[in-house]
Amino acid sequence: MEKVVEKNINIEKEEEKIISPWKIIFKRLRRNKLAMVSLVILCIFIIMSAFAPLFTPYERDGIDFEAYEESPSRTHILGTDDLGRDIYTRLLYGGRVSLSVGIVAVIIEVTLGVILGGIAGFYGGIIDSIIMRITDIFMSFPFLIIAITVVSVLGPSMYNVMLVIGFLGWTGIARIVRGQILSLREQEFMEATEALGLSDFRKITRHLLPNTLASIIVWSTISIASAILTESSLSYLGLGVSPPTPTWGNMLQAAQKQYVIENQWWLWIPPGLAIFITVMSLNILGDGLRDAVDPKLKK
Amino acid sequence: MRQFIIRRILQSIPVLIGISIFLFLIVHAAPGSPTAHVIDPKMTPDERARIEAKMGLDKPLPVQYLNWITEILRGNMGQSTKYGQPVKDVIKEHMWNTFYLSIVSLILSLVIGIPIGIISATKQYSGLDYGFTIFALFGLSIPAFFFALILILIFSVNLKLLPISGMVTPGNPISFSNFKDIAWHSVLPAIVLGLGSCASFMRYTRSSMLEVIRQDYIRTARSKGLKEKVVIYKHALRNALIPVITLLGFQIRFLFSGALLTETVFGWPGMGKMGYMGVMYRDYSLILGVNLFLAILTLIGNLLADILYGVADPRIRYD
Repeated sequence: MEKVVEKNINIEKEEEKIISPWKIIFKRLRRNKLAMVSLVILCIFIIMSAFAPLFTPYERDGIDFEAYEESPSRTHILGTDDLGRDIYTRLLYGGRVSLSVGIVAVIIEVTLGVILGGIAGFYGGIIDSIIMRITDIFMSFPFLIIAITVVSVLGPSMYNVMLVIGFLGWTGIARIVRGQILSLREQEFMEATEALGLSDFRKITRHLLPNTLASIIVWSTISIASAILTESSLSYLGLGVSPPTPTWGNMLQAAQKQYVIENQWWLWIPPGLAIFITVMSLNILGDGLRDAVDPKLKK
Repeated sequence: MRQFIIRRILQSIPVLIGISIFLFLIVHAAPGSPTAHVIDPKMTPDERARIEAKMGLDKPLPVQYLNWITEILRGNMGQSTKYGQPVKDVIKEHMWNTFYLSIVSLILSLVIGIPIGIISATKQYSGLDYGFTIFALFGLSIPAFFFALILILIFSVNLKLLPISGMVTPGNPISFSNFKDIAWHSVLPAIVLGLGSCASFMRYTRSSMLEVIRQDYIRTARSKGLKEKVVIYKHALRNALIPVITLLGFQIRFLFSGALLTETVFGWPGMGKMGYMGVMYRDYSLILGVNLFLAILTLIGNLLADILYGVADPRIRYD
């Protein structure tokens, strides 16, 4: 008799250990070494640029009058630029701008995309058609040309770059959210919400959108990568964030002179590598997250 | 099928109108009057008003829009201030330069991307697969202009093998007689332009191949005793390429729109560089013309992608 009771207790204990879907996803992700390495690299980059003053003795725009265009040395580990500013320091501060432009732009994209995609998928019909035609309009623009047009009209600045990337890039996530909600709303749990008499707003925000969260996170990770690439391209062309505020992209502007390409590698290789490593890490992490969310594709 | 095509074309009409309104409003929000290039600061306000009236700038916005759009429909895209030619001619001139570069890089990326995608999928989790996957991630992650600069440093500056920029050696005309010279100049830009699409072709082929080779009919083919090569290249590949064809359809737009960054870095006189020049010189008729032209091409490209998809996969029904 006692033994039976003990067994029951054991069973109950095991049942109490609930593994939520998020825990499963994180567990799967932890097994992906490449993705974990990327995550660590990204954390290091974020910490170093967020707390830039702790990692460098120099000011962002501080000028060393004894060192112009100096190659890397012990005092300036990545050398100095044509104004005598420390490249390593500017790289740290540049990361701040590049990373925050990427993140803010994607927050704008996700907000717009989720609202419009959610409404289109939930209501369907004419509302859906109108919203989908609007996404068609935005998807038909030649992205970079329209981006430089808008930036040049608004004037190049950090906020305008964020806005332009955000307002031109929401169509992808809108289509994903719409597609998922179209199929989710036919499922049985939605009949239950109907029976409970919930409002549309509650149905969408509490019962439909949480089910699309995993894809939104995967999409956002990869989109931050492409937003950072776009920012660097715009800044390289002189239509992004303007100096003296450094970003990885506008530091590469130095390489528009052939002399710099040939003789002063420290001016343009480090920011280029910083963009490349960040974007690659985000892409690997995004892939890892996708595999963790949807392991059907793996194995 | 025909019904589907007609419906899609009808659907693109409101999209086109939306695009044109959006473009018109952006350019109108631009600071500085479009008469800035024509007007002499010494002119009296009267003369200035006359010029503005002549250009139709004194009318309300909707009227200006209608005037502009009717001119476009008549085939008149206005005069480019930067190039001093009608916009139509400027586009025609640059379009084929871009087309040549894009088609070379597209073929390059197909020829490399699809086979390595197949190999990666058939040898999943092998060293080769990891190598190719990392290569694809590299291709998708490196900023095009940075990659271009590195190639210039290695092949043009240090090894002195390939030209740094331009489409021909200065002094030579851009024509068929200079084919060798042009080909030589296009090596680096084609590699830079092709890298990204090569990476996407590889990843698409790999993932769709992986999905297909797990299906039952492939197991049947294997159990019939067919050779692995026949199973992969004859039975599996056909189905695996269907999503790749959609991707190919999406690439149609890039054939003419080109890559702004690649063209700017290499000084390639194509559509992307032209658009950049238009923006830098505030050449509004040119900006409007290029954007509208490329948007229409994109719509056509997407339609073609859908049709190609149906041709490649008869299971897809349009209704």
